[in-house]
Amino acid sequence: MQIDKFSYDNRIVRDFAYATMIWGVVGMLVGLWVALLMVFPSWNLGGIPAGKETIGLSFGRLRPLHTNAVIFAFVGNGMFMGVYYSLQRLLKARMASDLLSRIHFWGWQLIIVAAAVTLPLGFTTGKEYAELELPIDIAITLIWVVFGVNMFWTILKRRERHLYVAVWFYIATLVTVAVLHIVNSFGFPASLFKSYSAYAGVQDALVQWWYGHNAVAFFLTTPYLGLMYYFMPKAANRPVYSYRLSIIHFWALIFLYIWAGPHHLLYTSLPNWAQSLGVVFSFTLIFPSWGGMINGLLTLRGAWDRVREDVILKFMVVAVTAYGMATFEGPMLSLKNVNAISHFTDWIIAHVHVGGLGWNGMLTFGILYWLFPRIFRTELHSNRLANMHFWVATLGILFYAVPMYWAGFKQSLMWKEFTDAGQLKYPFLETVTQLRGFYAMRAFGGTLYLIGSILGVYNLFQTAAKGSLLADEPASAPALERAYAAHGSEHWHRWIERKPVQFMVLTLIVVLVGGIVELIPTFLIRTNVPTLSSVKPYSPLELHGRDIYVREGCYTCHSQMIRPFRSETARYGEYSKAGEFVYDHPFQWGSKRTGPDLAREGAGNNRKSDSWHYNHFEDPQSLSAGSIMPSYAFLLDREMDTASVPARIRVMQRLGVPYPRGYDRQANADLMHQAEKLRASLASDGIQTPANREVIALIAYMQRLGTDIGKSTTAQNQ
Amino acid sequence: MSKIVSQYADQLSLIGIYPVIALILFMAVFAAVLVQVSMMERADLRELSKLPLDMNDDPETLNEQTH
Repeated sequence: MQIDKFSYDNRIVRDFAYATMIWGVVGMLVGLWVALLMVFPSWNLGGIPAGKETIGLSFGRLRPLHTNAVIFAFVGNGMFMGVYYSLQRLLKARMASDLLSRIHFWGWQLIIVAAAVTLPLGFTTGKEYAELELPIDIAITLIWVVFGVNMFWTILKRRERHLYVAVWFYIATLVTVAVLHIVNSFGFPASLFKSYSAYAGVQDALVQWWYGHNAVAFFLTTPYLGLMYYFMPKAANRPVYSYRLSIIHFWALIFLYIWAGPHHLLYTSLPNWAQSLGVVFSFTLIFPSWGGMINGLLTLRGAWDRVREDVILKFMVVAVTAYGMATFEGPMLSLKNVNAISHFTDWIIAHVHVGGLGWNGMLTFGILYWLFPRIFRTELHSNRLANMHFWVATLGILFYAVPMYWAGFKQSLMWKEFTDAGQLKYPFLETVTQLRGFYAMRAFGGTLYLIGSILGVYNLFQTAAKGSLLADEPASAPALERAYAAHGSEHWHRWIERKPVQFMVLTLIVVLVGGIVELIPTFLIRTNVPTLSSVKPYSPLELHGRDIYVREGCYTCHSQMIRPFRSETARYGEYSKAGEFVYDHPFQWGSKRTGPDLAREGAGNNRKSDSWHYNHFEDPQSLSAGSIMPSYAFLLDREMDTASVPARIRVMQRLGVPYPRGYDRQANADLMHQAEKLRASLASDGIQTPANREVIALIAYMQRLGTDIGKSTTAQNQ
Repeated sequence: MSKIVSQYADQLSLIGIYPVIALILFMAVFAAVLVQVSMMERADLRELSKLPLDMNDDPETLNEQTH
């Protein structure tokens, strides 16, 4: 038998590990800052002029920076670190191309830097977790292809015939993320950094949450399950508890996850059948998820005594437990009666952070502590510091999650409470002011977690400094023989485990089934989105205002979706209809109500005067004492970008918005005409401002919201 | 093409049955995997589950290999 001598590339593992740690701290720091802004809104730094643009440092612009940083920079780099280490060893082969590895690494870091620059500048698509604009989306696609080619090339030249379960999860991640990213990012550009989603309203919402939920599934979960299946057995030095269970876990999980997106849209204008589909599959997800968790925890059977001493196992046990908690809670939150309480509240923030801080964060650090002594050929700098990190981080998760659960319940119950006379008991603002104590506790929990992470990063960098990188780790393995002699009656799974291309195709088919069944009817069946004749396209000024609304990330705090509950129709007006959103590229339903719903902000009793909006944007607290909304005073000075209006109208026409032919040439005249009327309205209230200011456009958009379906059916009660 | 599909799809009046069909589809796949997995040989499973452990990457051993 021929024995090949080769080496593993540890340099790429080290690079991704460093990037994980650095971006992790940066992402958490931004998260802590935005958490503090909700406690101390006066700390908001507003907008800093930067040439033609403004660097926004308000919650709306920084929150996407936080989510993108922790998901794609921290967890993304952590995933690549683990994949590059484990893949080489599971396949007994060096990565196929060092060059592709380096292109992947530097390309990914450049994408992160591009996100860190463009998001505060307000270049955003306005779709959660997919905010990055078209040029960056294209770069992501290219770099993902580089990663995929390198990974598959390595698989093809492997020396181990059978693909271990971890590799299946990596393959599922590779193909599904590619599909999700391409489908959801489909849009048309009006300029280099301004594009509009190809989908509108209900359809956009369904595609976005099909993507959004599966970003959780196939970016934060499946690759990390792969890492769990590799690194937990390594850390415990015992094989995975049940390989049978891992097979069921894999296929059931990837089949089910892809259908679950609509649970983010329960009680919205999404067709009922799609909501039911989301509920059924989300609930069923508990079975494979818990199968995976149990498989992970039982891998430690007979080694539980070591958990007391081994800090790496401690991190891993908390990670898998958090996975179990989050995947129990997720299906529960998908039940309509629970969702009616939890949606739009801080409960969801608690839920995602149990997953993010617990599952992803703790597993990442567990892997880092396991890896560094091995690739740097030394012992961990300080076990004591690592233990301290563990306890501080665990406490941090508790201090983060518990107040947020409490806040979520409180918030929801306050929204829904009526007096004996049948009036809503609490004005919206009071439901915000009563939560600030919880937000302070959340910030404390986040601080603890960040301190733990900084301790960990220090400890790991000290470890690296103490040792020296084993850049090319020597290895040897028998060459893979071309002919394969199957023994006995081989079952189909054993067959497919050694056929990577077929495995990938089958995985793709499995994940596509759910996507196709869910998306195609929503696009093709007209009755899914009944049109309303009274719904007209936005005027150019309103469209411009809407673009500013998207740019400032208003959707991160305000929803535009009134659910058919008495407590919501009483507060906000008639419940939202699918046909109201047919010109909304992108949809702006939001997922959180830190501020009130704005779907009917311009209608009925919700309607305020133009001057109220002007003063509110300048200084929210002057009109709403105790509000935590940041000031948007810079919009009072910024001039509208009228030069781009014709291009924006043309893109809208291309997307099917029925502006008259040639309207792009007339749009700016109409825009200025409406702006002039608004300026005069403000002047009559004693506010002198030029008509070409951005705040004018934003007010026009606010006043348009909810007016389409007729004033007779709008809000009865504030 | 999309117009043709759209015309036919638009006539789907029983769209509400989708979740049930989807669930049946899943249960069928799940049952098939379950049956197949239960028929796998224990020795094969043991061998496969040990794949990650099939190497020694302790820091001390690595030191010996490279010095």
